[in-house]
Amino acid sequence: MNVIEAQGLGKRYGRSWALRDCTLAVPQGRVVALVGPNGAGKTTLLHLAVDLTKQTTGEITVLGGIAPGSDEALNRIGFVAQDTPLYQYLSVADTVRLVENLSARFDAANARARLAELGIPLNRKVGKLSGGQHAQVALAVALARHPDLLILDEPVARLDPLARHEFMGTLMAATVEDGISVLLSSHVVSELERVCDYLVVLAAGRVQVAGDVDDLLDTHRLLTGPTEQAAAVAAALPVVHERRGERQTSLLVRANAAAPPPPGWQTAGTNLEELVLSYLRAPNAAALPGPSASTPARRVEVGAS
Amino acid sequence: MTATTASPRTGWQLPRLHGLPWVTWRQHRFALAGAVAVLGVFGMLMLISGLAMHSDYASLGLNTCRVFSDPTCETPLGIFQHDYQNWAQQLPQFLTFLPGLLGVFVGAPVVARELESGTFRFAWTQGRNRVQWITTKLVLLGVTLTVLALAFSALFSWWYGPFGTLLGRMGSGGAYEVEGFVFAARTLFGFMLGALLGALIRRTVPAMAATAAGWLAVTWPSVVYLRPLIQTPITTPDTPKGFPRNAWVINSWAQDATGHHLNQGQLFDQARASGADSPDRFQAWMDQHHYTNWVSYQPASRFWHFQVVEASAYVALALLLGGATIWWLHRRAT
Repeated sequence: MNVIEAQGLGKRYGRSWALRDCTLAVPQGRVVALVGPNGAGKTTLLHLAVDLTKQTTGEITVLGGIAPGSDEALNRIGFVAQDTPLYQYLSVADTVRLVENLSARFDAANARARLAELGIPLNRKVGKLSGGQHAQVALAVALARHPDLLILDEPVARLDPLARHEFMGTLMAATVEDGISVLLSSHVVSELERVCDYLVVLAAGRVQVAGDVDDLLDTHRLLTGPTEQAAAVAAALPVVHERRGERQTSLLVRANAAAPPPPGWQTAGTNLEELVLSYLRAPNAAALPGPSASTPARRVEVGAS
Repeated sequence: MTATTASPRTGWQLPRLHGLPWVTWRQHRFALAGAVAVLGVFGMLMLISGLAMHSDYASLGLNTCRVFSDPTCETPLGIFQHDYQNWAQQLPQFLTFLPGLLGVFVGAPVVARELESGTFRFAWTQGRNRVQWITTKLVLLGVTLTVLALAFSALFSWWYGPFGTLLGRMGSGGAYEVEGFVFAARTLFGFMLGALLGALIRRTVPAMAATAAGWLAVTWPSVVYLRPLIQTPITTPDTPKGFPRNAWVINSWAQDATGHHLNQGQLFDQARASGADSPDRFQAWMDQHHYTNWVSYQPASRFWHFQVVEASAYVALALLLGGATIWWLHRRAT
């Protein structure tokens, strides 16, 4: 089952497209990183998935074919919006009661236990909490809804490094415990590496990369060799991004570890951050190994417009 | 659910609510408390002054007067009017604006505050969809405000009772605006107008200002231009016994034998031009030219008919605005 499936999805605000021609299948049971620069359309995509906005073109379904915004979708999807909006004037306890009165599957005892574990006082007004505690309250009530899919929009963008680490720790523990699917957007790549096992890169309103993190790392190599040969090597291989120095040039290419490097060149693996940055620096490159049964065409496009 | 197992929560608790009604109560209890407080302050004021007024009315023997022009009633009537008439005329003029005020402070923030602070992204993704969310809020808050306003109108009617026979209940800008159903219907209208403008404008303070302006822009023309059209006024010669003193006079004029109309200004100008500059000469001049005074009026007996027609129009408008708010949120979220 795919927790999110989009076909030719587009959203236009006035004259500009926030999201365009987005075809995507996010598999179940994964922790998916949705990465892209500011303004890439990440928030628009997530809002379409929870029916906070409606698409201009295309189709989107959630949890294996359910319409976003239906009662079932609303009750089975937890959503933590950007800046984790909560009512500032409510106490933490009343925030829990509010969600209890809105959600069908809410487990208030679970929420209170999580908050107690984090040392967040229930009688404190939400507006008086620190940024980290504020985000933790939003996460705790979202997790206590026992969602099948948890969607978080830039949850750590405004947190300090320590609070970020703690937030991600809570999230990781919960995903391991409950086996829920998670879709997490961020423009901070380094935080995602230890949490996510599936990557979607969105740039300028289009899906640029989508795939299993391990697969992506296995199929990308960093080749390093003399600059004078770089043009010849690059012509023969699917290059994502090149960094040309005076003497040495690094090429991030799509190739697996078994492929022998050109003579005189060294080959090495890459990491998620480098991979993401390379794609973001090369907006015309794309890696879309459609993982879903509903999108059978396995497309590998390099240098496509 | 029994009283003995009630949890020892701080603060006062109404009957246990669940789901969206609880959410509505928790989020809007301060606004509702404010509405109760404002109506309550005026209510207390009317209760205290009303008891004194009713007691004086009775002790002056006015409750036994059928015809106020009766010589035995004229003196006590003068005393009573001297003591209370200013109150009776000015308080309703002020209270007329309360429904608009309730719309501004209770209605406008309902959606605007959520949109402005971004909390709608939280509220509308927790399991209950936004159509259920807004419908519950509009219905519960709208009904509550309407009931409060009806109770207030009932209290006002009791307070104003002695003057109902003296000054009449028909009219514009006075007691008519606070009695009967019109006051409550305008409260509901103001609330729904505020909610819709909040949803459209998406900012609380501008939405409140727009609600005040919109409420006045609908209410004022309806009083001045539309209300007299509800029923054709009765037209009669203006003689001492020609029309009841508690009626609402729409227009008065003079006309000659051929039916040619003159308003008061034209009449006085012509009389002065003919040298009729004292009351006696004026009357003689009038008789000479066969001028007679006429009035058109709405009798007090039409009070309930007017109230029902006008209130129905406001309620229909309120329902339309409520429907528009629901439709707008359903169709267009962010």
